[in-house]
Amino acid sequence: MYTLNDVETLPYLDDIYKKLYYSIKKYRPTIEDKFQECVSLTGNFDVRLNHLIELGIEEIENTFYYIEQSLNTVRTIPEPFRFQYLAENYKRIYTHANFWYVLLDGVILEGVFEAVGEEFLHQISRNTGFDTLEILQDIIDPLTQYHYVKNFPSERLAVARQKKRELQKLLIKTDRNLAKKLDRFTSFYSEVKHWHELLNDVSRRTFQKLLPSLRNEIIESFKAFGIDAEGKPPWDLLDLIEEELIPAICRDYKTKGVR
Amino acid sequence: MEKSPIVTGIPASYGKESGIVIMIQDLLSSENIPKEEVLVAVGEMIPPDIALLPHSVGAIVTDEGGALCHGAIVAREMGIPCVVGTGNATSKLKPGMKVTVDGRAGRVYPE
Repeated sequence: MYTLNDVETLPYLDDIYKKLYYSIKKYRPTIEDKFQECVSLTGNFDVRLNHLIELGIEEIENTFYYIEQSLNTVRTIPEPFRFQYLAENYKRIYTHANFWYVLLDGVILEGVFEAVGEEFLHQISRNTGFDTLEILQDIIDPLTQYHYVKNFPSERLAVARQKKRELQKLLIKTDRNLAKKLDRFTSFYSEVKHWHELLNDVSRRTFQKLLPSLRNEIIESFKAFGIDAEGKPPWDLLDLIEEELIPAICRDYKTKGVR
Repeated sequence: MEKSPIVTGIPASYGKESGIVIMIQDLLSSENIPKEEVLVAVGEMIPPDIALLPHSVGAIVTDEGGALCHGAIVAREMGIPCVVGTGNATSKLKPGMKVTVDGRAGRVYPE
């Protein structure tokens, strides 16, 4: 069983994801439980992870649907409620959508899967003498779903099946568990390709489409209150919103009332 | 005598292809890219949308990543030679250079 106790024990998790993880954790501590669940299922090449992926994609979609509606109406809202509304929406992206983006992209697809998968392939290579790229390109790739190439030559498929049988025979002789795990890895790898595609698609329709507009709006709000937010990384704006922007809005509201 | 490689990395997709070097960010942003020459896209990482690029790419070389990173998976599906995790491809390979990428060996040679 592959388990981890702390995000710091994931040296292969990009720094940018670690920073995001910690900033989200302050506002949504449940990311810790989901993190453990994702790590455990990915580490075991367990395709039940599909359920979590679906939930994650759904939450990203719902969050951005809400954000899109908000951006359509934000101009009609009087100050200072407009500023407050924008600030809450900006926070919502990090606590609801980026929450899943970190887990799906950073932890599952790029972090744990790559590290554990490569370690597993090297293990098979050591046990059988097959080269790791040969295992991937000649056996696993042809036997998994293809997403970018639709007409895969059937003769290559037959060769891949034959090679996999040879590989399995060698593995059964050396380590039966590895032979079973190879089947799990092949199914999981197939799902990984599908998840990559899902995440790219949802990212194009949500983050890439709406995040720049909302970020520009929120930067304008900071400027309106004389708060220096230029050049800050996106996740630092979360703390600035909590510690500076929202208190500034409240002070302004108390002194001037609704304008 | 065999030429020394300019960069070496992790073999991520079979094949050998020669072409001119172009940086991935230029490939994503520019429209003035010669289509007749085979391109060797070089970047820190392979963008997730590489399969959707308007230009056909002959080979891919990156600084980071392993054989299971998304870009490597896509390169294998598309049958493009790919070398990942070189650590220094973006500094050693300059736009316009003519090179040969050997995906199986994980090496890039000067033409």
